[in-house]
Amino acid sequence: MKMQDLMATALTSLRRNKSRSVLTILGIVIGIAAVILMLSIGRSAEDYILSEVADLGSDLVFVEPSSGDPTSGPPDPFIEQTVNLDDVEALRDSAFFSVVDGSLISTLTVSNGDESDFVQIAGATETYLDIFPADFEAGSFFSQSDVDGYARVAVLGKQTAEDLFGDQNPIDQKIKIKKLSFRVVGVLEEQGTQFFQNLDERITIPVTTMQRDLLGVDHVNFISARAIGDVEIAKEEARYILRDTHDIDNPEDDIEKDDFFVSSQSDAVETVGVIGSILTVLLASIAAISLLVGGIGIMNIMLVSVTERTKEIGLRKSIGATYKDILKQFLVESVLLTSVGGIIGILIGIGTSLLSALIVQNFVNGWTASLPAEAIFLGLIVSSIIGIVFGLYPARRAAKLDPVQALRYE
Amino acid sequence: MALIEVNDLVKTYTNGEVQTPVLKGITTKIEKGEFVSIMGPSGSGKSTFMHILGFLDPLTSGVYKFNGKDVSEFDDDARAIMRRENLGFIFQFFHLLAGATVLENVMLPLYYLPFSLKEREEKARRAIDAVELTHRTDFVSNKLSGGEKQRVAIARAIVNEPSVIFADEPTGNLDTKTGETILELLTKLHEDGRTIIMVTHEQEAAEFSERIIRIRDGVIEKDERDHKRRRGSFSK
Repeated sequence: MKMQDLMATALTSLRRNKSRSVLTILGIVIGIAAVILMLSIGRSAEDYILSEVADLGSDLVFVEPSSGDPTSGPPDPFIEQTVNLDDVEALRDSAFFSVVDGSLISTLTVSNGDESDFVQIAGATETYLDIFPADFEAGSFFSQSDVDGYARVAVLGKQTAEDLFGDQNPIDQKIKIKKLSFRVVGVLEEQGTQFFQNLDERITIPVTTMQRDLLGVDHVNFISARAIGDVEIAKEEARYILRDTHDIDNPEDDIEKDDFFVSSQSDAVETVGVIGSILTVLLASIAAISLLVGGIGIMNIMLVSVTERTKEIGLRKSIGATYKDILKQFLVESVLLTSVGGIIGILIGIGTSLLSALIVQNFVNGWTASLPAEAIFLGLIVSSIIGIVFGLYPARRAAKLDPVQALRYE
Repeated sequence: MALIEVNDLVKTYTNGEVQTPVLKGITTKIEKGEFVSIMGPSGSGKSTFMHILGFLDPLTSGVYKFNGKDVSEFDDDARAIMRRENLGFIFQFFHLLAGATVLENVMLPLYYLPFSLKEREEKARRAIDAVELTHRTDFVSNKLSGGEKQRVAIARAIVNEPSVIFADEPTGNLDTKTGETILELLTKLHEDGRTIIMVTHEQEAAEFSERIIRIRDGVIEKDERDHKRRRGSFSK
């Protein structure tokens, strides 16, 4: 039988069982669509994070508290806070860093008259804006003397300013953070999200004030610094400086012995890459399972079809169809089913990917749709292969039928 | 040279340890252009005999020569190719593809032969004309009457211009009058020069042929040649 005849025969028989054909391919459609959607979201997230990292500049170095090997396992929320403003000062004295900032983050009650809400408070030094640049809508940032003098001054994010003051000008107004009164010295322009955090709903105050008056602690959550020259050398320098201030004897440079961890933006890029590949493996396994289930569905329906059409097979054999003719006929049918399912799945996958990107764009600045081209191509191949693999057993069963027995089948 | 020649044909079905002999040594010849009926009671082996002659079943032992060629050892594929090139089949239960039109049904055997779509359609239309169903060409086959369905089956059996037409109880599923018209049609095809081998258990149907081979218990009981053929007044 010629290929075009096989296709025509397969199409006719699938059309004759329209609703069944549709239900059969549903498994493949959903499997392929889900894989494309998930890969697309994963890819968009990766692109987003990498572009955020790039925006901040590759010369950024971070220091955080750590115990043991910080590269293994998730971060410990009850970790001992070992990094403080002395470390910030020590790094500032180094020639390897242009600016250094120590930050403390906490969510606290903020009120203005009757308006009261939980707001994220960032304690920072006067150099904060040199690391995380932002423009001012009104006023200015606090100064070094504010930090040194435990000043009760605050810089508001745009959204927080609107929430607390509405149309009023907040500059020189008072707000209460944990019942302590702060004077508003600046309002930032709209910044949007950064690393999934809304910077517009945030208040920045001197870190010293936050440590002493609000939280009663003397640590910072992390230190950020801009390196001069090679980032790796700057990181090594930072480790030497902190080992000195922390009295850690670690000449062999074993980071497991440190109570802090130094990382850079390029490390973050690497981590994103690792997360990306883990995600891909995970998705591939989910895809494999869902397509396996879809494939078994195809096999099941093809077996039913073979049984139903036993007489037709008997007839075809009696008029001269060989083993191969019948085998091909049923294989073409199952491959046609799965590849049509694959194509529909790809289209739905692309559609939902674009739709989801449109939705996420409303909440996250700089999020872009990303279509995984190789997954689309692979989806087409995989769905055809499923047709062959899971169609083979039913097709062989059909092809092996004895014509006399098949014609007598009731 | 006879079209079909069998010598000591034996067929034994094996089911596990149990061996059932069905044909126990049949020797006969069928010439080109004959219209032969094979008769016998249920279980006599007449259907098995037809299946072996029709290349649907392999033989256990003996010699089968088709057109002078020894085909006793043909495997499944070789027999399938013999069927598509040389044979046509008519069945008791018609075996048409239900959702397909008359034309599509008649064209079916030509899918397995190297003809272009145009040639297939031309040949199928000629076969449909020959069974006088031209007005039903584009009808879906399950909308036809029993007699019409059997005519479609006959058209399908002659579309590849076979050397032999095998008819397995062709009137068994039809009323008397319709059965008669089908037998008339087979007679006409025979008069046009075609070789027909028909299995039947109805004497009246067998009367239409010119030779009756009677089989009982797996052997030829009687071979009635130069049977005086009757036409018309067929009744069950």
